[in-house]
Amino acid sequence: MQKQVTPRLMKKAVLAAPAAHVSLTTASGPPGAPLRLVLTGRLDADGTAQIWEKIEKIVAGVRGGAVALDVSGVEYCDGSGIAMLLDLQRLAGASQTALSINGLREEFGQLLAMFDLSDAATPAPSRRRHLDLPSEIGHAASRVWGDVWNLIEFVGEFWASLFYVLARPKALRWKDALHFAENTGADSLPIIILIGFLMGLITAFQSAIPLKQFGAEIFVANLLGLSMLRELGPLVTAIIMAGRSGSAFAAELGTMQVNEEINALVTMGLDPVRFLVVPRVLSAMAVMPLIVMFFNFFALIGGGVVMVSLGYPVVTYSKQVVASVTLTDMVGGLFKSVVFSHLVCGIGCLRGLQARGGPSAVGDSATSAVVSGIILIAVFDGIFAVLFYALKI
Amino acid sequence: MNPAHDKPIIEVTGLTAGYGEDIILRDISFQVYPGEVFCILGGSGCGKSTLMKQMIGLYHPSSGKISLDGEDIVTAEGRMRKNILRKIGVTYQSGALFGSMTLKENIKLPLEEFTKLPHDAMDLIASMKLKLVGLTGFGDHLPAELSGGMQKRAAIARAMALDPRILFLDEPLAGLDPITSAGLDALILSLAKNLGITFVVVTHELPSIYAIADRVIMLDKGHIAAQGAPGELREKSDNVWVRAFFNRLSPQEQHQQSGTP
Repeated sequence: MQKQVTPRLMKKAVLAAPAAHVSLTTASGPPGAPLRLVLTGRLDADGTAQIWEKIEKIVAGVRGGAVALDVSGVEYCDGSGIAMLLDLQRLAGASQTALSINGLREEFGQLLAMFDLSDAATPAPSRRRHLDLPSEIGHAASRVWGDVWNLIEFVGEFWASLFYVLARPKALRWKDALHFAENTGADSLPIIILIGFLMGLITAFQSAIPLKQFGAEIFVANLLGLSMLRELGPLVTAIIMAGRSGSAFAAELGTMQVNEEINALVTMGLDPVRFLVVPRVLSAMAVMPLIVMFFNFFALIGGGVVMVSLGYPVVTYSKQVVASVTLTDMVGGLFKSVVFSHLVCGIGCLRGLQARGGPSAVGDSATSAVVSGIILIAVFDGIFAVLFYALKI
Repeated sequence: MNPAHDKPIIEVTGLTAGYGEDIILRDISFQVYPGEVFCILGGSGCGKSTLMKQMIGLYHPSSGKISLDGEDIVTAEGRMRKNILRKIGVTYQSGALFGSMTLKENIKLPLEEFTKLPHDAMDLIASMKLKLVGLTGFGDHLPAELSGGMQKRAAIARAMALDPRILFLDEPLAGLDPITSAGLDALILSLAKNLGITFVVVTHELPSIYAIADRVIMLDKGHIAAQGAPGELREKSDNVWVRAFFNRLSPQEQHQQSGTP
C-alpha cells in the first residue's frame, strides 16, 4: 500500500536528509601571491547556504588584490552553486579584485558560461512605469473618471438592451432568466430568513432594554416596523445580494472573459449585455422585492419573539406594527430594493466583463464587484433618504 | 485556388494596430484567396493573435483596412457588421465553448439567434456538424466532460453552425498530443477541400504548418518577415530568422549559421 505523505512525515524526511558536505579552506601563500581559497563538496542550495556569506566576506575583504578560487574538489554544482560563483565574480568586479576560478569541471563551466553578468546589469525595459506622486494622483483620478464613464456607458447599454428585449420578448433567454431567478431568489432564502430573524430579534432586544426604563417597550414594534420596512430590509438584503449574487456574476462573467467565451459571443454577432447581463439583472430585480418581504416578515417575527418573552401578547404586538407603518413605507422600501438589486447585480456583471488577464483577474473582479456594489448601495441609499424626505414619503 | 486569377476573400491593407501606446503591428498588408488554408506564424508575443483579433473585428486598428468578402469590417457597424460576422466562424485557443450548455446547445445558439429554422431542423443541423467533426453521440455532453481535443473539434463544429465562408482558428493545436493534432489537421484539410471553406490559422506548430498550409505569413517584431509557401520559405528565404524558424534552429545554431558570434 502506498503511504500517504503527511506534513509530519515530510518534516521527518527533511530532518533525516544528509547534511550538505561542503567545505571552504583558505590558504595564504607568500606575500604578494593571490589569496587561495579551496572549495570542495557539493555546491547545491544547502551547501552554498552554509558558505555564501562567509566567502563573500573573504572576497570583499581582498579589495584590489587577487583571489584564486580552487573548485577542482567540487563534485556537484547546481543553479545555486553557479549563482554563488557569479555573485563572487560580480563582487570581485566591483572591488577591482582579480578573481580566478580554477579547476571547475567542464560541465559546470558550461553552465557558468551560459550566464553573462552584463545581462543582469541591463534589465529588459518593463512596461510598468514608475511615476512621481503628482503623476500617480493624475493617473488615479483619470482611472476613477474612466470607471465612472464605463459605468454610465454600461447602464446605457443595459437599458438599451432591456428595451430591446421588452419589445421582443423572444430575444430574452427565458430559461437562463428563470435559472438566475431561482439562484438569486429561492436559493438565497435560508440566509435571508436567518439574517432577517436575527436582526429583528437583536434590534428588538437591544431597544427593549432602554425603552423598558420608560415603560415604553411596546414602541419596539414601531421601531422595528419602520426601520425594517423602510431602511434595513432593503439595505441588508442588497448587501447580502452583493456578496452572494453580485460576486458570483462577476466571477462567472470574469471566467467567461478569461476563457474568451465573451469574445466568442461577440464574433458570433451576439451582444454580451443582452445575452448575459439582461437575464441576470432582470431576474434579480424581479425576485428582490420578494426576498425583501421575506426579510421584513422574519425580522418582525424575531421582534415578536422578544415582545412575547417580555409578556406582550402577539395580537398587541402585531396590531402595533400594523398601526405604525403605512403601505407607502413598505412600497418605498421595495422600490429602493429593486434599484439596489439593479446596482449590485449590474456592477457584478460589469466587473466580470471588465476582467482582463489570468485567473487572478476573476478573483479581483469578484472582490471589486462586492466593494463597488456596497459603495453604490450606500450612495443611493443616501440619495433616496433625501429624495423621500423632499417628497414627504 | 489560383491567386493570379481569384479575387481575394480577405484583404488586409496597411494595418497598424496595438494596445494604447504600444504598437504591436506595423503596416501589415496581405491577401487570402478563397479555399486557401492560410497560416499566420511567428514567435510567442509577435502579434499573431492580435492580428487575428483585428481581422475578426474584436479590436479596432489605428489605421488600415480589413476587407472580408468585399466588406470592410473596420468601419462596418450595426446590421452590416452582423452580416459580415455571419460569414465567419472563429475558434479560440481555449475552445471557448459555453460551459453551462451541452454541445448541441452550443452549436444551436447561433442558429437560434440568426435563423428562424424550426427546432427539429436546428437539432438535425447540430447533429450534422457534430458528425462532421467526429463527435456523433456527444451532443448531450457538457464541454467539461470532453477531452481537450474533443473540445477543440466541438468549437470548430460551433464555428461552422452558420456555414461560414471563412474560419479563423487561434492556436487550434495548443496542448494537444501528436495523434489528436494530426486528426485536427486532417479535419481542416477535408473541410477546406470538400466545403471550400477558407481557413486562417494562427499557429506555430511546424508539422501542422507543413501538413495544412497553402501559404503562410511570418510576423516578426510587428512586421511581415516573409510570406509564401512553407516549403519555399524553409529552403529559399533570405531571412536567417525565417529559415531558423522553419528548421527549428536554436539561437546558438542560428548564430553559427549566420557567422555572427
